[in-house]
Amino acid sequence: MQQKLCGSLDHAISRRAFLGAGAGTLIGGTAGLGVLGSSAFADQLTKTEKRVILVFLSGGASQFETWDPKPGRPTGGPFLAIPTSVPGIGISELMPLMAQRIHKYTAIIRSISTANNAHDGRSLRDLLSGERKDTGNLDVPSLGSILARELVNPASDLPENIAFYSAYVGLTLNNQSDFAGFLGARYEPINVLSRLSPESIQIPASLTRQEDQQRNALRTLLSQRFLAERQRDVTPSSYHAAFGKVRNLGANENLFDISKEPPAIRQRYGNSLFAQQAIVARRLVEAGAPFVRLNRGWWDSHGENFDIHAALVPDLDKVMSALLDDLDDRGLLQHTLVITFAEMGRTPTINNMRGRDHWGKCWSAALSGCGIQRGVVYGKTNADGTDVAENPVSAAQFFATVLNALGIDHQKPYTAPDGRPVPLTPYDTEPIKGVLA
Amino acid sequence: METSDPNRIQQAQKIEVASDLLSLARLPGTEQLWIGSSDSNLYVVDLAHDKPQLEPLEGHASYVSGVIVVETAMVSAGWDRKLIWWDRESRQKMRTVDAHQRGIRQLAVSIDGKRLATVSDDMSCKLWDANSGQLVRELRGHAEIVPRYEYPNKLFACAFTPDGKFIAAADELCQVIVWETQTGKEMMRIDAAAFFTHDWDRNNHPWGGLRSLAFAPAGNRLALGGMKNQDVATIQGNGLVQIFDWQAGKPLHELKAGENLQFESLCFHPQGNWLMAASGGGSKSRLILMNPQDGTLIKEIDSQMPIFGVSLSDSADKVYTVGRRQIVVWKL
Repeated sequence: MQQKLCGSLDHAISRRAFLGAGAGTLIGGTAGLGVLGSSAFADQLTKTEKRVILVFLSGGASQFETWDPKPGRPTGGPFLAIPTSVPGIGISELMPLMAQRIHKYTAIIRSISTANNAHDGRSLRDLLSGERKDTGNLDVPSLGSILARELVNPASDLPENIAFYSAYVGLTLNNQSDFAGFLGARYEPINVLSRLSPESIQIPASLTRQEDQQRNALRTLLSQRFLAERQRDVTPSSYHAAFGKVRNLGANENLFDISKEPPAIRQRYGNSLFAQQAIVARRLVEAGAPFVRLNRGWWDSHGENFDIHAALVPDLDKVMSALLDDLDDRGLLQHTLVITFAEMGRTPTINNMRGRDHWGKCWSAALSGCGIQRGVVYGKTNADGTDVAENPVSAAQFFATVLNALGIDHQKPYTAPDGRPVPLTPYDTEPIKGVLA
Repeated sequence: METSDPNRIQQAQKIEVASDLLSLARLPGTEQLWIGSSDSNLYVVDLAHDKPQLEPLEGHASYVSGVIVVETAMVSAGWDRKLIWWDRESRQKMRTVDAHQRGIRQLAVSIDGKRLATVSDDMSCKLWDANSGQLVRELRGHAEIVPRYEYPNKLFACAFTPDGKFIAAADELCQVIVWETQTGKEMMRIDAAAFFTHDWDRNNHPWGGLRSLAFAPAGNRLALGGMKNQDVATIQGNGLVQIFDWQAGKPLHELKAGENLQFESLCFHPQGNWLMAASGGGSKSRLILMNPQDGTLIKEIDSQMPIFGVSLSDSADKVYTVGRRQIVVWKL
């Protein structure tokens, strides 16, 4: 005799199925699954439109060969500066495409001054969380994870934080990954190394799609029961949410398939791995992913700095200009902030191997798109690029500027695990008003 | 009578300077050197003086990557994309030509002094009338980009055959193209793959390039210099010289030197008795002399600096070298 079911998900699971008679056998289908998010996110509807793509130049790109050239100076190297579409602003000759677009998209900050001088370790983690001196031993989440949380889109079933790496440097060699800390696993990045999509997002060949859905329903039911008994602990719910998002990647695998892009679009970006990952990033933010990071490796030019930058900077120029054009053409750029950043810059002094070494004292970053005043340069270095001449910018100020550009209060408090309030940036931090729209 | 002995090579003179010296030409019959510098200046110095003084000539706006003697003047080339002709006596600029779309990496002159060749990352090799400064011919054929990685390619080196009939240019992909000077007709392509390394999966990056070229005095052999890199992540391979029968496109000899070397200057003895290779890249500094007939090493010494320019004396018993912050003269 078939048992009468009340319609609840609990009764959709048979004892036989629970004990493993089949990989995902259920009776009665999957009706009654809950949804992610809650009505409390109503006030975030405006912010949830916002997205971020972080282009992280892993290894530390040279500001001399990108945004702050010093041609003819002893520190300048061989490359010339070229005028941009903004009178009075010149950038490296290696970036002719971005030179034509500065007025449309970008603010350059030439006076970033940070303590970090390393590719990884404590010093880098401090940089990625704003080089704060006000939080003691607390592990403050990195900017990427904070943005993933702040820009969470309850209508999207995509992970909040996805990171692409073009090479093992930046992830496997130097752990430069974002870190969510007390925000929970949901905001940890899904790291994709040297490819265009996460591994193993397809349904196993041994399962049908229905079986996979039924298996997930069982997992969801069990997780919800577990969570109901541990409501105060954010960790399980965060992992549950994170798993759900990862699982949903399978349903969204088409987003990672750039063969679906028109050839003309693909040609604009180019075919390097970095270029292809940038196309995926655009597809993801277009579909609602709030934070995507593109970690482009190989900038650590201790030797042959000029030949390395002669290769990488034109690639960056092409990909960045294509990405900004593409976002703009789709009406996305007004809501998408593209950050070009690194762990540090490079020394003015050229070493014995035609290289430049690590340098945090004065280097450059760029902000394009959402909330940014276009066509401006903020801050200045001296004639040889050996020190900041005007308006030094700390990591905290840079992060505050990013947050403000996205409509996020940079003093908004989080609650640390020990109960103390922790603002997103130190109390005395001011954003750079000169680059905010 | 030949009195030089490569086995006895030793330092004879050293002058320290403030900048990196990138290129060198010696006025025949003298010890007057014209030197291109990273501070954008050209310097003139006469080593025959008791206290040689460097006289700066301003004109370029970036690194001076090449300087040569022509019939009636000196010509310099720079990363500012320009060629400048200089009066040897007055030291005044005679002519400036906007030569390329990107910086000029190397400048060469035919033995008769009538033709110049320049190479640039705009991927062209250009031939110029050495006296009038007129462009004679633009030669192309190397790939514009590095395949798969899609980086812009680089054109590193060029050299004339001793009879001036042919000009060769070499790129980052380690391809040499030889053209007929008179007609621009392509005569030969040589792929020297040993000088190129790449790693898609871990580093997603290539590294390599033919950094120097030199034709043997008899004209039938072409020497290539660079690095055989082991690990693209660290750019510290072995210095490598290969000698080709360029007309047949066949490799004949190879000399692999120590680690952390990249040979960027090649210079044959006037009668082909030896071939000198000097390292400019890598963390070590070496100058080697090898037998071009069999590729064996004759002598290897610590050059004390990365070397970016080499010139022989008239009797080949002295070698003038310039590099990182030094002029060093070697006696053989």
